[in-house]
Amino acid sequence: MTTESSTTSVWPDPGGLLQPRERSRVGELIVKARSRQVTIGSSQATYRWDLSRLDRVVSFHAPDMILTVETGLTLNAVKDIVEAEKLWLPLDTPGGGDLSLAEYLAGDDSLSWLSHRYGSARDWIVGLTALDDQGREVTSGARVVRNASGYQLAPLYIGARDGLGPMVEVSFRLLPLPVPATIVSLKADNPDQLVVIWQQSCRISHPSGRGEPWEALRLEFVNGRWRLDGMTRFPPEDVATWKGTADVDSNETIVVAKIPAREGQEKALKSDIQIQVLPTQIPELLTSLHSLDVELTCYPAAGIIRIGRLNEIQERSPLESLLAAVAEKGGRIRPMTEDLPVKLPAPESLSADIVLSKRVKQILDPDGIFGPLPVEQW
Amino acid sequence: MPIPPSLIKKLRRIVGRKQVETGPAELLVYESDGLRLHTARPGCVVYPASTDEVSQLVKVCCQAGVPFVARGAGTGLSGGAICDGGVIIQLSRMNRVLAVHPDDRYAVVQPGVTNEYLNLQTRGHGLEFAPDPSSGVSCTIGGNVAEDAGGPHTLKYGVTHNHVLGQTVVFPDGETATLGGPFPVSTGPSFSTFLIGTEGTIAITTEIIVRLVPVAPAVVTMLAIYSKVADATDAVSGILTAGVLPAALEMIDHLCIQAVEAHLKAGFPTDAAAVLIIELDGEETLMKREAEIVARVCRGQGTAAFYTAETDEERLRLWQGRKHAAGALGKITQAFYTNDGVVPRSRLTDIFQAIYRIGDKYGLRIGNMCHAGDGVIHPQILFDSDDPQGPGRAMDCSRDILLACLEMGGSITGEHGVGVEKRGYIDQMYSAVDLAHMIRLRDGFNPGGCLNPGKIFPNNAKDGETGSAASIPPGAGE
Ligand SMILES: Cc1cc2nc3c(=O)[nH]c(=O)nc-3n(C[C@H](O)[C@H](O)[C@H](O)COP(=O)(O)OP(=O)(O)OC[C@H]3O[C@@H](n4cnc5c(N)ncnc54)[C@H](O)[C@@H]3O)c2cc1C
Repeated sequence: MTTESSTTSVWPDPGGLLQPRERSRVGELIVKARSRQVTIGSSQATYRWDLSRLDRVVSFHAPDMILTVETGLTLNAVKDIVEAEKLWLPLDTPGGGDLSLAEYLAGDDSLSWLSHRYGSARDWIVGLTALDDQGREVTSGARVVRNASGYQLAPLYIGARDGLGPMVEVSFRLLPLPVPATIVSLKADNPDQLVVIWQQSCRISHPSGRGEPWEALRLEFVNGRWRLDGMTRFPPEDVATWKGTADVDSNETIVVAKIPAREGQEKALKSDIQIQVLPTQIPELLTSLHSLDVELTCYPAAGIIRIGRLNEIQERSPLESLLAAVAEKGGRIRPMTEDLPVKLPAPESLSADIVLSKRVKQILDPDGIFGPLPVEQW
Repeated sequence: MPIPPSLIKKLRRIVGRKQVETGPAELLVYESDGLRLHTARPGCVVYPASTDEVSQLVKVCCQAGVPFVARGAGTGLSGGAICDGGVIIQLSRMNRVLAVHPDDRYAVVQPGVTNEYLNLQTRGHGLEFAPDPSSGVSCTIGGNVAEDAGGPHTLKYGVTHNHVLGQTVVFPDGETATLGGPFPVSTGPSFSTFLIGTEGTIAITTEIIVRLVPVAPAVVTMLAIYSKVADATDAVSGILTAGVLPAALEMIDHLCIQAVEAHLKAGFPTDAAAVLIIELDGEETLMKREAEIVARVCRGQGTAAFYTAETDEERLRLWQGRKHAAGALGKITQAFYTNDGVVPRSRLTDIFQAIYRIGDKYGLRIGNMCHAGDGVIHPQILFDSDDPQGPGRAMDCSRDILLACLEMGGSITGEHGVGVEKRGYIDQMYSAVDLAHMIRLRDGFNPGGCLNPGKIFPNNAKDGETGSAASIPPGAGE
C-alpha cells in the first residue's frame, strides 16, 4: 500500500511506501516518524520511500554543464534532458534507466559497460542534498565542476540504501555529447576468442598507438551464445583489424550509432550476484563459468561479472565452490537480490568499509530513525 | 604551550631520537605551508617511517591531549599543514612506490611519494596518475588525497577522488583501517572516497592505491591569443558547447604573461590581454577534427592569433609558461597572495570583470592564471610586504573575490581547500545545519579534536589561532 503523504493523511500499513508530494513533506514525515517511533528508509525499516513525485529540474544552464534535479526523476529522464542540450551523463544501468535517481543511487546499481572508462555514480555527482535524522535538509558540494569546500557526503550516501537518510537532490557534472561511435558486436561459442580480442585491442602497445580503444565494453553469455559488445570512437577500419583471425561470427560486426542514443544504452541481464575481481583474473573466471553454463554479463576491463537466472540452474554446488574460491583469492561477491538460491561464502570478518559505514550510521542516525543500514552482506 | 618533555621522550622512543626535531631553526620551515600569510609555530616535528609508527605517534599525542597534523610537502595553499604548538607528522620518509601493476592498471604508494616521482615509475609502462597539480614536482600523493587535488588536465580526467581506489588510514585514536581495494571500479558507500578532500581532519593516510590511466598517445597543444579578456573567456564556453572536451583549457592574463615573458620566454605575446592554452589528446583522427572545431571557435571569438605547437619543445615551452607563471610573478613583486575560487563556466567573463574591479578598489595589481575549462580561478594578488597594511589589504581583496564567486553561484575553493585561510567564509557557502552535519562526522572520528584542529570549520573550540600578518617573510609564496 502507498500513501500520498500529506501530514494529515493516514499512514500506510507497515512495509508500505511513503510518497511525499513535495520536498517539504519529506522532512515533516521524518519528524512525524520520530514522534510515532517508526522508521522510514531501508528495506528493513517500517516504511520505505518512494520519491518519484519529487521530479523537478532544479537548475540547468547547459553552458555550465551542470544539472541539478530532484531525485524522483528517472535516469532516462535525466539523459533525455541533457542530450537535448547536446550534453551527456556517462552513466548507465543494466536495469534500463527507468529507476528513479533516488532508487538508483540508494542501491548504487551504477556499474555498466561504461564503468571501466567513466566509473560509477560517485564520479559524476558534485552536489547532494539529503535529509538528516531531524528532518532537515543538509547539502554538500556545489553546482560547479570543481569544488574543494567542506566534506562531500555523496560517497557515504550513495549505496547506503536510504539508511543514512533520503537523498532528495543531486547535481551532476556533464560532458559534451560525444561524436558518433562504432558499435562492435561479435558472437562466439566460447569466451576464449572474445577475451583475446578484448586483450589485443586494449594492449597499450597496440600497433596503431592510438590509446584506450573502448568507450564501453561487455561480454555476455545469454541463450547459449557468447557475445562481445563494445563502443569505440576509433575508425571502423581499425576495429576490423582487432578481430584478427579470431574464430567469431561477425555478421553484425559493425554498426555505426550515435553513442548516447537509446540503442547505445545497455539492456543487460538482470543479475543475482556481482563478482568483483581484477581484470587479469577475468579470463580464467569466464572459462570456469563457461563450464557451469550460467547466464552472465561481464565488464572485463572493470573486473566485474554479474550472474543472473540463478534459480534456473540445476547443480548449485559447483558455483558455490567457485564463489568460495573467488572470495579466497580476494575477490568480492555482492548479492543483487534478496533470497538468493545459492549460498555465498561468509566473509571471515567484516571489511573496514562496512565497519566504518556502520560507524557513520551511528554518528548520523543514532536513534536509527532510517532503519538498519543493510550493507552487511557487501 | 610547549610540548611536555615526557611526550617528546615518547615520540623519540617510537621513531628514534634523530627523527624528532625541536630546535627553533628546524621548526621555522614548518611555520607555514605555501600560504605564508598564515603562520603558526609547531612544538616539534616527527618523521615516521611506517603506518605502525604513525599509529603509535597519534595515540600518544591523543593521550597527552596535544594537537597533531600530517604534512606532505607543505605546498598546500590554504594553511592546512600548520599546527600551533603541536606535533607535525612529516611523512617525507614514507616515500616509496610499493608496487606497480600495469596489467591491472594500479599502483600502491606511500603518502610521501610526489606526483612526479610516481609518474616516473609508471610512464615506462605507458601509464600515469592523472591528477597533475602544477606543484607536482614536489607535492605528495598524501597531500593530493587530503586536498582532492586537481590540475590542468582534470578537465578531462577528473580529480584525485576519481583516481584513488583505496587507502590505509590511521584514525586519531591510533586505529588503522584498509579501505577500498585495487579493483578498477566499486559501488556502495565508500569511506575512502569520503575521506578524500577532508584535509586531514578525520584520519591520516599512510598508503594509497591509485588508478593508472594510459598516457595519451597523441597530443595537440594550441595557443589562442586575445586582445580582450572577455573574448578569451567567451571562447572557453564556446569550445565546450561546440562539443569538444579538451584535456586542458587554461587561461593566463596580461600581467602573468608579462612576468612569464620577462623570465621564461614561453612565446606569449606581451601585448595580449589574455591567452588560452588548449590541449587535446586521444585518438588521432578524432583529435584532428576537434582541433579544427577549436580553431573555428577561437577565431569566431575574436582571437588575434592562433597557433598550434609544432614540436614537443614548443609544447613544453607553453606549459612551462603556464605551470611556472606563479614563479615568474614572484620575480616582479615582493609578495603575492594566491586566491582559489570557482564560478560556473558561463560566469567566467563576469568574474574577471569583478576581479579587475576589486583590484582597483584596493589599489592592488592582480595577475590571473586559471583552469578556465573548469571555472577555477587563481587571481594572484600582488602586494607590498613592507607596507604593514599590505597583507591585510591583499586578504580583504581575496575575500571580496571569493564572495563574488559565491554570488555567481560558485565556490570559495576549487582545489586548494579551506584550511585556516577560508574557514571564516565557509558559513557563507553552507548553512548552519549543513556545517553541523559535517562537524558531527568530524567529531565522530576525531572526538578529542587533536587531529588537525582549527581547519575548515569556523568557531572551533580547539582552534589553533594563526599567526599575525606581521610575521610573513618577505616575498610570500609561489
Ligand atoms: C606553485 C603551486 C602550484 C599549485 N598548483 C596546484 C594545482 O594545480 N592543483 C591543486 O589542486 N593544487 C595545487 N597547489 C596546491 C598544493 O600543491 C596541493 O594541494 C597539494 O596536493 C598539497 O600536497 P602537499 O604534499 O604539499 O600537502 P601539504 O601542504 O603538506 O598538506 C596539505 C593538507 O593535507 C594534509 N595532509 C598531507 N598529507 C596528508 C596525509 N598523508 N594524510 C592526511 N592528511 C594529509 C595536511 O594536514 C594539510 O591539511 C599548488 C601549490 C603551489 C605552491
